[in-house]
Formats: sequence, C-alpha cells, structure tokens
Amino acid sequence: MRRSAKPRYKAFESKNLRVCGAAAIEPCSMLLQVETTQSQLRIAQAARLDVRLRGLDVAFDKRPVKESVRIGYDIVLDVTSGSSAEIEKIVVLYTSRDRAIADPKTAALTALARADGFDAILQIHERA
Amino acid sequence: MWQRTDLDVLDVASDEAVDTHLAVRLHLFHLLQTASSHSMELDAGIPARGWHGEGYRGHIFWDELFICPLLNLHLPILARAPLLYRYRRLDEARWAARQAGFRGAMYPWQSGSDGREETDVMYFNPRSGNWIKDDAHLQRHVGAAVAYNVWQYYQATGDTEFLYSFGAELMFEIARFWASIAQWNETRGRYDICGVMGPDEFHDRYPDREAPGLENNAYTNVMAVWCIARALHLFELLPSCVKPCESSRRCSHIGDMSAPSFTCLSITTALSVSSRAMKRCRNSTGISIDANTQTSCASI
Repeated sequence: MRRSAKPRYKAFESKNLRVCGAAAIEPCSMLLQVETTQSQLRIAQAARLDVRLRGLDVAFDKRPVKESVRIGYDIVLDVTSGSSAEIEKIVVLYTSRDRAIADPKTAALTALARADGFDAILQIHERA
Repeated sequence: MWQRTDLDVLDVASDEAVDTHLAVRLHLFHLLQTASSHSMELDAGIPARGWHGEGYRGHIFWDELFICPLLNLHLPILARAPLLYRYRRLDEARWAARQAGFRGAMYPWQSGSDGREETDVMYFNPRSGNWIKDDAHLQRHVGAAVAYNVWQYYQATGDTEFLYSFGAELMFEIARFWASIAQWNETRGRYDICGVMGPDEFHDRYPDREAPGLENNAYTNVMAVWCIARALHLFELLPSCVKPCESSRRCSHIGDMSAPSFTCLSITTALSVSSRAMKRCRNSTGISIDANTQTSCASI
C-alpha cells in the first residue's frame, strides 16, 4: 500500500507501512501483519476464502502465493458455462489501538474463525 | 446510525429536492465515515479531508466546528470524541502558549498525533511552481472553535460530567490565552489582538509590512470575546466543589505546565484580568472589532 493519490505530495515518503509477517493458514486463510513506520502501530489483517460451485461447497485446488509483502492463493476451479461459481473473501482487520483485545493478530484470527459468511455479515452491516 | 442522522431537506416531491437530498446524504456519508463508533475511542481527530483522502495529509485543523452541530443533536456520543481528543492535547497547547509568551492554551492550526503545531512553514503553489512563506500558524482562532464546540455540546446534551471533568478546563485555558494575547491600547482605549490570521487565508499580512499577521481580525476578536465572556459565565455556573481552588488566586505561575489537576489550575488571576476586559467591553471599549463590521462589543 502506498500513499500516491496526490501528485503534489510525490516528494514525500509514500510508504507508511512496513510488513512484519505474511503467512498462509490452512485450509484457505491468510494473515498479513504490518506496522506504521512512525507511530509503530501494529495492524493485522486476516482473510478467508470460501469457494462454492452452484451454491455448494466444493473441493478445489489451491496453492499459496507468498511474496515478500503479499500473501494469497491461486485457486484452480473447473467451471462450466451457465453454472455459477462464487469465491467469497472475508477480511478482518485489527490494530494495536483497538480496545479489549489481546493483540491484533490474535484478535484478527479469532474474529475470522468466528465470522459468518457474506450474506450474514451484510445483514449486520445493513442494520448498523 | 444512518437513520439517526438523515435529514429531510425539502419536503417537496421534485427532482431538485431529490438531488438536494442526495447531495446532503453524500456529505453525511463522508462525515459518518470519519466520525463513527469505530473511531470514537481511537484518539482520532477530525481531519480536513476525512480519513479516506490524502489531501492535507490527515492533519487536524478546526473541522469539528462544522460537524459538531450535527453530531451534538443526532449522535452526541460522537461529538464528545473530538472534544476529548482536544482535551488529551491540552498540555501540548499549554506548552505552545507558554513558548509563544502567552498564558493558557494555544491550540495549533494544524496538528497530528501529539498535538504539536504542524503547519507548513513554506507552501508550494502548484500553479506557479513557487515556494512561498506560509504563516497560517497564526490562525489562533482554532482554539476558540474548540471552546465553542465544548459549550455547544454542553448546551445540546447537558452533559455536566463532561463539562466538570474536561470541558470547563478547556474553556478556561482557552479563555486565558485570549486574555493574555489581548493587549491594552491606551490610545484607542480598547484591547487589540495583533499578529494573527483570520480564517481568510488570502490575507496573511499587510502589504507595507514585513512581519506577518493582521491586527484585530473581526472573526478572531469576536470569538476571543465570546470565549472570555463564556468562561466567566461558566465560572459562575460551576458548583464550588469543581471550581479551581481559592489558593489559586495567589498563584503566580500562570500557564504552569505542571498544573496537574483541575482543582489546582491557576485560572483566577487570568480571569480577573478578563473581568477587567469584560467591564471595559460592557462600556463599549473592550476588545476592538474590525471597524468594517461595525459590530459593538455589547452585541456579542
């Protein structure tokens, strides 16, 4: 992530985050931890991929993709014309400024494990 | 949150009304992205461009002045958050006042994490390609906005817990700053506030002077008088158990950074100065208001 939207600020430092760790988590989740460069706030982002074909959970081939500042999966799916395939990505984010947490990583992994699917989360957001 | 803040702008079923409502809702959306239950405990102020734009580099100016009126009435718990954000930076503002030779608390025009002044000293004009001197830090009126927000919040909510614990201290310290930056002008028989910039940033100094700043900017002066008058009023309102202690009358260390608690604040000396200013004000000879506005002190 870079701050580069303002051409006028291009002389300034645009990288405000340093990556502290990127890990793939079985079966198909991932965790990225970063730290802000000045204030040294820790930020943990965890994500989970759910794949469905025609509304059904299916087995699929996946391969973690790990680069120095990036973590993700390559997913291989057999799809046929006219049938639906859904790839759902649920992301949770915690920072060391959040209250009532042990640490951002623990909070993110716990919340991800407890998180419902997209439709249920959407309902909560609509009520908010 | 959306239901609690929506505004029916026009009760007319026309396209224009729909457009207006749409525009208001867009602004409400941006506002609620910046000030929400997700941010209210994160020690986050209200930046000029919200938290999703890079403009102004996330700096905190005076923008809670514009959103607190909405939050006070619709979501007062969110209005309290930017006020506490300022309270946590009160010591830094006290330090700034003392460094500049004033008493009380002088809030910075631009600030960030720890509340120190972060206004640029040079400004790059992207149209001309020139770097020009930037004296916007002389916008001392930002503190008046903080005091105004405290009072408005209290008026809307009756939150005496906030007022007694945080709000009153903010208002007294800001009033003390104005009382100390105002200088008695014997010739005119009025107080002057010099070397400041108003919200109009295109007028930052007189053409025939080297030194930056204006004299008796109308907005600044009106707000200064308001802050002092309101602080005196507030002092009368406070129950004796939360008033600054009697011994503080004898304190000479005005603006002492070490003043650790509300009850030990040495505000009384400054307020007695302010009282003098206000008496003069009531005699229509108080802090002068820009002649162009023809506003008299009595009407403040």
